[in-house]
Amino acid sequence: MIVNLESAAVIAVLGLLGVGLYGLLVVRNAIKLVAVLQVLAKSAILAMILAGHITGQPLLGQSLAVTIIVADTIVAVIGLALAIQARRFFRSLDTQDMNTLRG
Amino acid sequence: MYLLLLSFLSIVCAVQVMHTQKLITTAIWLAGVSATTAAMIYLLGAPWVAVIELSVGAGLVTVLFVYAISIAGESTFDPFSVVPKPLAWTLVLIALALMAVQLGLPLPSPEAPYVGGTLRMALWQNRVMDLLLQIPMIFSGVLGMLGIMTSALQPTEEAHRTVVQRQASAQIAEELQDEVAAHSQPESASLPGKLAKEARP
Repeated sequence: MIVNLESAAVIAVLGLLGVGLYGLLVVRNAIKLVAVLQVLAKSAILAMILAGHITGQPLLGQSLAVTIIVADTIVAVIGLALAIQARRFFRSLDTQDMNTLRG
Repeated sequence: MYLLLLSFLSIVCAVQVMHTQKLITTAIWLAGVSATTAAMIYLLGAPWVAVIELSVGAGLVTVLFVYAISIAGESTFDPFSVVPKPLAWTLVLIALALMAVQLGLPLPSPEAPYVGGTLRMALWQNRVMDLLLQIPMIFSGVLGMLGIMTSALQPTEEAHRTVVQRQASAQIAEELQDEVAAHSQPESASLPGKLAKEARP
């Protein structure tokens, strides 16, 4: 079975997206949650590059991918800082323990 | 061929990010995802973006994770998920099926303003607004992190009491389960003893 370049990249995009979405639903550790968000961002970056490659506009896809890389790094920084503060405040990294709402 | 192999490797690394117990190992597997993604980006004809992704994703983000784990502490707890796993799988498969349908549709190609040139031209001439917006984004991220990390947050008594109560009730529930399991065993455990007594003359 011969798989071309684009199909292999689509497999990677969908695979990473699926793993990231599953992780968002299942993972409860705050730091691991930030890592799962990073996996989702990698999927988006790859999708941008692939879209530029397919439509014959690689430079547009690459410039958007650079923007996503910057935004994703900032999300990681802020997310980790919040996880550290939540660890200090709630004495736990479990997102279920961070619920102080009265329902 | 190489791209297919890299695709599977990246998916395997992503699965390990979720399943591994230790947080340091999670950070290493995440670096693996970044590295394989950077290699795929290079094979798709974007070497500069691949270099940026490798240095930022596999380098900077991994260092950030190690720093955060060293401050927050290594945690190996792996509680059950609130969302049932079959439901999570179903939702993910539905989302992927919808994505696959979207990918099958023809992509609209805009009037080609970015044909030719280099990435430098595309960024600094055609997408200059994106770059200018990234500058305040980076500053806001740095200021936000400084604000979060330096604020003197003291846990309120009430919040701390709630967490302690939840942990105590979880521990009590576990002890009760162990007790119930222990009480349900004696009859079957003594059965061989009873049979041996009846068999004696």
